[in-house]
Amino acid sequence: MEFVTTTLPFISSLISFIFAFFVLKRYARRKGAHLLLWGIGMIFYGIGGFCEGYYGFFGWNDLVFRLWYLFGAILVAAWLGQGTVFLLAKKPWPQITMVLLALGSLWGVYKVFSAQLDPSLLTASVHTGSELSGHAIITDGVRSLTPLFNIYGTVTLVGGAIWSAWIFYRKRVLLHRTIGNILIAAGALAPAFGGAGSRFGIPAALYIGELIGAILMFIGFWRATTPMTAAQPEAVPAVSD
Amino acid sequence: MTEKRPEKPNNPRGYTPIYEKLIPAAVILLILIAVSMLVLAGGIALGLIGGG
Repeated sequence: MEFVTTTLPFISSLISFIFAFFVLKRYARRKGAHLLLWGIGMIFYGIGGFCEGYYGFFGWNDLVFRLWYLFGAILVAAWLGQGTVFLLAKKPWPQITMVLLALGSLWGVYKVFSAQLDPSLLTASVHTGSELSGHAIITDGVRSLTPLFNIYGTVTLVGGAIWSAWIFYRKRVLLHRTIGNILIAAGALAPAFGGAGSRFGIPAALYIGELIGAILMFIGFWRATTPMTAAQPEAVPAVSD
Repeated sequence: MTEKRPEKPNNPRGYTPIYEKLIPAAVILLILIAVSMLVLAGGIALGLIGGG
């Protein structure tokens, strides 16, 4: 169990940072706000995993907990989803939602860094404090931000990926993008699935969900951006008179 | 001069029968999971379930 709450989140973090590197490298080459936002989102994902691993190895730290809650619990899904909004939605929706997300994120920074914490409350949670959770936050109006951001993130990131996959499937084109988007949607749901498991008392379910999520999204992104080599029909020699 | 054109494969874009079955199933499953997660998150937002 210790491995799951210590090393495993660091592995998730490493995968997320490597994924972010590739996304931002693609952004540097091709531009596109969606790539920039996905890259930022995966950096947030990596920060969240790093904080979880830090807590597993070294125990409670006030700053690490705040960073985890801000980036890992509140912002990550919404910023990844915002990337999908820039990719799929028409003007002016991406710009309007970006302003709202930026303002909401600033509000989140203020709330998280001004919140009162009590680490002893972590052990009162269903998973006995082996994982980080919002239970340590005493101040009102902080934990209630999490579902709002995560609902937006899930609808946009997962909804966008499923919708894209379905469009490509319906037209029977770009199979690699269909598969890639399905994997991205599955990966984006994995942490939410793990979080639900954690909420119902399954130890380390969140961390396992996050690792699976990072891996699936990485593979999905690679698949979606790498065309499959189509099987070439056998060459038929030309017949001439 | 005549030239015999190569036969058109059944799945010119790679959508083999296995993909034809798996993709809709995966999409439906993902939608079901996503809706469940949203209901759960909605329950948290409304205070029906403890926050994260």
